[in-house]
Amino acid sequence: MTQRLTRNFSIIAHIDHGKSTLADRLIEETNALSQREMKKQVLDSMDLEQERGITIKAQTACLSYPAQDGEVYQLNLIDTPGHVDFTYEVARSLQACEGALLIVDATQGVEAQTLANVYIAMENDLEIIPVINKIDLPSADVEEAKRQIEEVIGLDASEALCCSAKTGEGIADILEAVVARVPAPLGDREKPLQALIVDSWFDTYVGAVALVRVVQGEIHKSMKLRMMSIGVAYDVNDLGVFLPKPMPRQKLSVGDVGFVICGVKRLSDLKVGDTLTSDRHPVEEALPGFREPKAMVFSGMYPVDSAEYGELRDSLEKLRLNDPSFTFEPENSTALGLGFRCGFLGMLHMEIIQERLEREYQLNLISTAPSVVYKIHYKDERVTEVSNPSDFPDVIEIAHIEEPRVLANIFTPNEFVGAMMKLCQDRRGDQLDMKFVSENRVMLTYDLPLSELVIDFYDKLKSLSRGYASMDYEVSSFKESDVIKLDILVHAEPVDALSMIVHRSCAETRGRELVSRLRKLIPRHQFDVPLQAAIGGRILARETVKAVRKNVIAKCYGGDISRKRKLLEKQKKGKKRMKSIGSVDVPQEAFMAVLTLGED
Amino acid sequence: MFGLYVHIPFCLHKCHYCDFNSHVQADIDWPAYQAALLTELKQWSTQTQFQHKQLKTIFFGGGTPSLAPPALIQAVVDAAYQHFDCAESVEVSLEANPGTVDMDHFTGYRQAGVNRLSIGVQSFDEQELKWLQRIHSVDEVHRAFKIARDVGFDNINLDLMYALPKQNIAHWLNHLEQAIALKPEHISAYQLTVEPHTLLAATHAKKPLPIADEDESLDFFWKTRALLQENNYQAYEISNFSKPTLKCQHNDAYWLYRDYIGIGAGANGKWDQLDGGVTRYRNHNQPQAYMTHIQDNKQAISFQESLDSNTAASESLWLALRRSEGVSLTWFEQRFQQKCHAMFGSVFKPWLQTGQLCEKNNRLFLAEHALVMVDELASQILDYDG
Repeated sequence: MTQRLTRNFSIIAHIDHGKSTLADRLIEETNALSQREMKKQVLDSMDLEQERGITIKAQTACLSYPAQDGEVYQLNLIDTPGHVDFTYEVARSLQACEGALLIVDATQGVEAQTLANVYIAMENDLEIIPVINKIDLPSADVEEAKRQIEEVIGLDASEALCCSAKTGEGIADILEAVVARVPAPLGDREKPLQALIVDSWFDTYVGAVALVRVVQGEIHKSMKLRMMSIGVAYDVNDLGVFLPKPMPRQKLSVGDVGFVICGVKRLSDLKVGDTLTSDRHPVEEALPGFREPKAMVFSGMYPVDSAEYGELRDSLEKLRLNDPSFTFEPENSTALGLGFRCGFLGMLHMEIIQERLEREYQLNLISTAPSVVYKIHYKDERVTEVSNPSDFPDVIEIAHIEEPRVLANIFTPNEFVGAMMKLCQDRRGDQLDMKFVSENRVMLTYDLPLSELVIDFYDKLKSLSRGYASMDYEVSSFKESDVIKLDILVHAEPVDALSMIVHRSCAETRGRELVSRLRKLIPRHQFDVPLQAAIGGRILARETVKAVRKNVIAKCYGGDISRKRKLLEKQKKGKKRMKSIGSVDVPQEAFMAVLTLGED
Repeated sequence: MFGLYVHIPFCLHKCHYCDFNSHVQADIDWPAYQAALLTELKQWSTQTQFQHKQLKTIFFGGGTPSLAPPALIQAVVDAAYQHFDCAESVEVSLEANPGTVDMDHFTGYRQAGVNRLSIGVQSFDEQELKWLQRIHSVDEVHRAFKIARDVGFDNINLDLMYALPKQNIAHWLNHLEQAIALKPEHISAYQLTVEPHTLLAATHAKKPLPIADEDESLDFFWKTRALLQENNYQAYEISNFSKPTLKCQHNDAYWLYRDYIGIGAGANGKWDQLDGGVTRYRNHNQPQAYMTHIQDNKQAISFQESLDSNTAASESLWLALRRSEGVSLTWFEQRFQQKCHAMFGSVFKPWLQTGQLCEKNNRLFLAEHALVMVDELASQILDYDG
């Protein structure tokens, strides 16, 4: 296949705007898969993705398309992950393309995420083809969608295509537009190799697999490839393209997108965004944009049953094989025993990992409240990064603390603007901008502390807007902040797993909310259990779980004994699943209480 | 020593709080039910576990046993005497609904050998009786009690319920005094319990009833106990009070972990196994299913469980600690071939230290004030496997 006939493109869309369905249609239209093999949304291979409708790992399909001009084109569709936590991955996927289809739902208009990803595409100088999807729906408003594309994004929508990925209407036009409007890849085949790692994953049989875009030069079998960020070289064992089924090839040439397998054992050696070059004739400079994945959100994960600690460790190791972007290290909590401190790219990333551990590895976990990284400046001018409340130094040693901030764009219908602004204010946000996107939709731009985002911000945003608001964020900077460690004491014992870092201004409210919630979750004992929220030695809030004073069945005769004995045994079993803190049994839900705030 | 429980599973109306096995039927085939009871009784008499043991008590419970024709009661009592070795005096109790009694029935029961009557009074307040969905009135309570005395019953129990929604404690104590004024030999006073799978539970789930909170229910409990004790009723179990020497022996035997046969639909039985464990069973609840099994000469058991010796030991403690006298440690050691303290010492320790649990004259019992925590202790004992 010649470079001239190659087109590399991605699809940019908000969740649910039909990206995966459109990908299915494109594959179907080019007959890459027979109808029989066509699973719905073929590109989303993980179960979890199919359920959530989110593409987590980018995958790709190489489509052979006989265009109307009589030539057969090779269209490389590069899938992009569709969530805010994976901005970096999206950027690398888009960097591998010359064009992108911008999907806008004709019934919904432009959303926050669409905007964020379009900006990444623009930064990469991609040819963007607006496509208005779901035109089959009665509530579709094509003109309004076009207007928003022009006004909000600033793209010319006069040549926007219309389609229905569901019915297949307009799909052929899209393929023609890709051929006609997306430029062929540039780059010189004769020059030394420069290939971008777009994605990588672990395969049990062949080891680490890299999805690459050849920017210049060629990759041949039996060539030695060097990963520029780590300087290590490996022999190419196998290479090919995805149709989307893997199809071996002899070489990948400039402009091609395909997979490379080269006996890499650790996935962390195949870093997304890294540049591959020839070990014998290396290029001088790596491709731009590479950075190490950086965990921004942290949470402790503990097995409910401490006997499962080993299993948890093995499972985390296995998961990490496929996802080097999350980190974990052993952690010992006085309340929860042995567990791990895990770091994630963001909230969704954390949820996905937790869910996979519970689902695929059948582990029963307790996760502690998520926290973020703080930069602690000591009086002696040392600076450390702390993500675990337990590691917070004594206040006396601290000069000041910096916390990570994000730049967040929130799209919301008019009627919820007030609620969104209040939410952002409550979460210590600074409003930077407010724009009318259309007659009845507003874009709010806020500077917010990341720590306020990690505790149920997104859920709140959705519930306060009845699901209509959308949000995108990017970590922007570290700023000085008056944060303190809030301790929770159960029966006069500080419980490390319940402590958290909060801004001084919210400490009292949070503390009061938390102990009041804990009071409802911690079962009654034979003695009063005081619950306290404190900063240092100062008690901010106190509640008491009153002692049980009566536990007796009124009637117990011959016919009642079996059933009532089982009830008593059940009472006790419930307590066995709890964690003992001193002499107090604390249920799992108590540790989750910190995850949702301000509901009662 | 063992007891015989006979279940009469029929009622004229099913009260919303009731979780007993009772059925409202238009036509009750009494001869068929009687025949089934007699056949089942015969089945059990051939089982080795009840041979060489003395039958000490018989209890007709329900449902509404006072719906049964006296001939049925007579036939069952006679058959029990015929099939089993009986103690010199056998306590024969029968539960009666004040709304279903007349002179003939009571005379008939008396002649059949019933020597203890338990009258389901529940309340001395018309409104409360209505709320409870009872079929009887306060007048009928007085009338039933008088007839019972007139035909010669000298051992009568009154069943009462307290802590009903919105019930005022003084109001309740006043009713309790009315019960005491009748001078029954025995009073059972139960706090209203919303039992699962009852109509009341469904109502409560939809809209919580204004029932007593913990403090109020403790108040009810202690004041009830005090008033009865002042009037010379001994509190011998959580909800049971009697004149000296007139405990209900049949019920006491449950808490003393003795064996019992249960016959009839939904009846339960229990016997000790040779290995120190126990077997418990329950018959089919539906009268028709029960009768069909028996007619086919099969046992009517729908549920059976065997508990090992350790579980039986914990269960026996749970039950015995409901009694004011608690458990005899000598009995325990003989029964389970282990010292009670050796088995449960670590569970007992904090309870003994705080004075909630007491040991005296080789008996272990809960202090009066700690009786209301018996199930807390029980759950620790039942859970303990050290």
